[in-house]
Amino acid sequence: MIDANPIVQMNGLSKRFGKIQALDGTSLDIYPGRIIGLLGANGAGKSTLLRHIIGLYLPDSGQCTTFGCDAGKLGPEELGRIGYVHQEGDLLDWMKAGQLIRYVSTYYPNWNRGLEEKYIADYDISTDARVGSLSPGQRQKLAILLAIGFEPELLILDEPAAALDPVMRARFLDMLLQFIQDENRTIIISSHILSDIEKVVDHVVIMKAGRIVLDSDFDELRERFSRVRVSALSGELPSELPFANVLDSRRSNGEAILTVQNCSGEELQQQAESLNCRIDVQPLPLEDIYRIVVS
Amino acid sequence: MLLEIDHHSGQPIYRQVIEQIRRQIMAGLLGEDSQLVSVRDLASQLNVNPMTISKAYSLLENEGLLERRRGVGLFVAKVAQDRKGRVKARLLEEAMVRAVTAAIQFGIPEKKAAEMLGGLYRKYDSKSRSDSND
Amino acid sequence: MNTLIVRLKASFRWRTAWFWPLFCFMWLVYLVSTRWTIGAKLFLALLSLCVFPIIALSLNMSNLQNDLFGKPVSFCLPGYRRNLRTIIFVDALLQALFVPLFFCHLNLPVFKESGLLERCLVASGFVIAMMALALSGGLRFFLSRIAWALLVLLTFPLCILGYIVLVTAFEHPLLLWPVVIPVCVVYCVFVWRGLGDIERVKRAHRRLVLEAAEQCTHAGGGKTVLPEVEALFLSRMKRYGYTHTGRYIWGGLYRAFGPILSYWRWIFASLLGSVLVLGYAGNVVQELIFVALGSIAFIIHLPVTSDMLLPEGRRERYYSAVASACATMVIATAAAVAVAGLSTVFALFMPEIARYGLHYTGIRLETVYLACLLTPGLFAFELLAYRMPIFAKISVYAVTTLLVVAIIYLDSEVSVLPRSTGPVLFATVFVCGCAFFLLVLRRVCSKWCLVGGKGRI
Repeated sequence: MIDANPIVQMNGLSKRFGKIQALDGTSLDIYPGRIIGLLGANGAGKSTLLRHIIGLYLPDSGQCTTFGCDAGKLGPEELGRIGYVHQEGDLLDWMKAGQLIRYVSTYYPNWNRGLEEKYIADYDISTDARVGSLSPGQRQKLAILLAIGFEPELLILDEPAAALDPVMRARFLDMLLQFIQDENRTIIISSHILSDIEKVVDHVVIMKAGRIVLDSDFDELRERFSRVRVSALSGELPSELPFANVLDSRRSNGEAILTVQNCSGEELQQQAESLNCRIDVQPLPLEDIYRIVVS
Repeated sequence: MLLEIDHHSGQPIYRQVIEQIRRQIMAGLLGEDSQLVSVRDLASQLNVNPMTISKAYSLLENEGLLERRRGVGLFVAKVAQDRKGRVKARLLEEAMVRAVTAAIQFGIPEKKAAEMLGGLYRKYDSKSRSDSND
Repeated sequence: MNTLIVRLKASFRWRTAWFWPLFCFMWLVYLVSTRWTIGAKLFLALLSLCVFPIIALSLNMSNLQNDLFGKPVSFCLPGYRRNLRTIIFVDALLQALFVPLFFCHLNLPVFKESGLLERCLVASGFVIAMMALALSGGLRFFLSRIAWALLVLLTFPLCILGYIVLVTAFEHPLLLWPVVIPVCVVYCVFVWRGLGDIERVKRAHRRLVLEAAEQCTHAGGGKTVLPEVEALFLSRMKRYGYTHTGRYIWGGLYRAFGPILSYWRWIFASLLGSVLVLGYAGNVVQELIFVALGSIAFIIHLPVTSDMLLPEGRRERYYSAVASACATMVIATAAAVAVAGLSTVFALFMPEIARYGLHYTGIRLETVYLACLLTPGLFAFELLAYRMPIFAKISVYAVTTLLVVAIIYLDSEVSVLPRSTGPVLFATVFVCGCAFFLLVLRRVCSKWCLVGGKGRI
């Protein structure tokens, strides 16, 4: 699947803020054409990592290369291909929304007016309102518009949908999927609303205390963990269940619910046959996977 | 080709795509030599990542159910009858395991379960026959 | 802890602590100003009398807003509205205690005549301050936002009026003090009782809440960029290629000056107003105000640290910050020249209120270069500030105080800058400031985090 060169390469990035080690020898490659979900608790270093990609932060040690250019030396050429939305990002409060759009679009040669108009209509952005007077949701929509209006190759979204209502969030996620239809584009999205991310990402990176604890294809990750409901066909379950790699189990009389890792469906089926059990294998929701990986 | 993705099922999307296409091929809904919708079109139609679709297609290709014709696209491959039979049998088995284990669990004897299966078979089969007669 | 104590504590929280250095700074200036004429001193005393209540009150207001939006529960605490007047009056009391000290230092001839009069004067200082505070406190609750803003604008002209009243009072103490003090006392009692009418306070409070809510949420009020200003900057930007630094410089200038230029009518009006008042203020105050003009550096947000990602790299940020800083200094100097020039014109026909010691003198053009004296240094501090906010805040006060003290001590004649060493000294300060600014900017643009560096992740 991976046939292109990575567009972002991070090599042993470390960053310290006072007493907090925000990044601790983080290495990560980002390949084009993906939607990458960046997960982690507050303070795990997600925002710090993302800001290193666009050179807003410089690492204490290590190296970050974006579009083949050292992130600290990014110029208009490269930055013009990156869109960035931060949850509480600055906007120019004293402009009208329309003025802000005009201002930002002046910086980009490939600003897409059609997309802008469509987005304004779809998302009901009032261009006449002063940016400072917008509600958090409106503000976030505007910030998203500003970041996608020039159709960037790399779109970095740091908690982008937190202030949107459920309907808008769904539309926003649909829009991301529309956006990624062009295979040269890449999206990195950090969010703690896992149910949102789950629908769109195809690659998952989980951070904990400045380190990357997991960097995996989302489908692989999902197939790695499963929840198995074992129920005896007759009578009691044996006291010892012979399943390997059980992470968690709960049982009552004739039934057990197991969380297992690295087990294929066939293996489980065979074991079930030998135990004279019926099994139901369900994939684990991202939220549970996240909890397992982090703990 | 009509596919539907359930984002809530937890089942990886590429698997859902594979399963549905496989079923359609086995059921003859997608006939031999028929061309598949392109990766990009299917991706935007289902609103999923194109990578997911291309992954599903290439897995089906490896499985031998699809074949790539250079410069034209992907087509449903010619599959030997016995191989097809095996695939069908496996798909059917998967479905039937659930029914059988349920029967055992509920204490329904084999004979009764088999009778029920037979009855259902006749019911649906006759229905489809009468449909086609209409 | 009851509601009253909690709310009183809020007035003296860290968030409002910057008010006290400012107060001490004024106080210090006042103390070292022994060589000044009584006119200039009295003017300063009056200024502090009018300005502080307004600052204190706006702080109270922001506390109120904080309470309402940050801690909505406290809004429902028992007696929240009832202890409003207690808070206003305790705040007023604490601040009014300082004011008589100003009057003690005036060294007026009347002090020498009678001990009674002196005590009367000190007491009157207190009462007047109480009145000013209660006035602002009381009115804020019963005036609309616009009326209140107008009142704030009128502060400076009111200063002159107050000055005239006070000087008259000093000249005819036995005639006027018995009038001034009872008037003040009666007014204070009036406000106290007015704020005691809980129904009225409730209504006023509700209105304040609505106003604040309106500001916080929609309504769409507030000033935005004028179309002409926008067109001006955007057309300049478009003259340069997409990767040309010129585009980024003009973009940065737009971000830095767009909001200020959009307020040009107000700026023009306040310049005119300041010309009117400054002419009467005497040289030292003029010089101080001009030095303070440099603090517009704090209003200008250099286009370096921004979370809004535009395709400007660190290099572009550097150049556009330098351009914005230069433009700031040019604009500050231009404003200073305009004020000085206008005051010279005004000097031709402004009335001489000689009876009260008010002479309108044009601002000397030599004073103009003071306007951007502090600017580069302040910009450097602004850059440092986002990493070390407390350090920067303290430094600014320290530097400003030092500078003012320096001006005062270097001043051998009455409030005139030393003509020989002055230019050399100021050139040195200015050049050092510029060098420091460029060094800091270089460092920020090449090494530092460009956003949220306060230890936040």
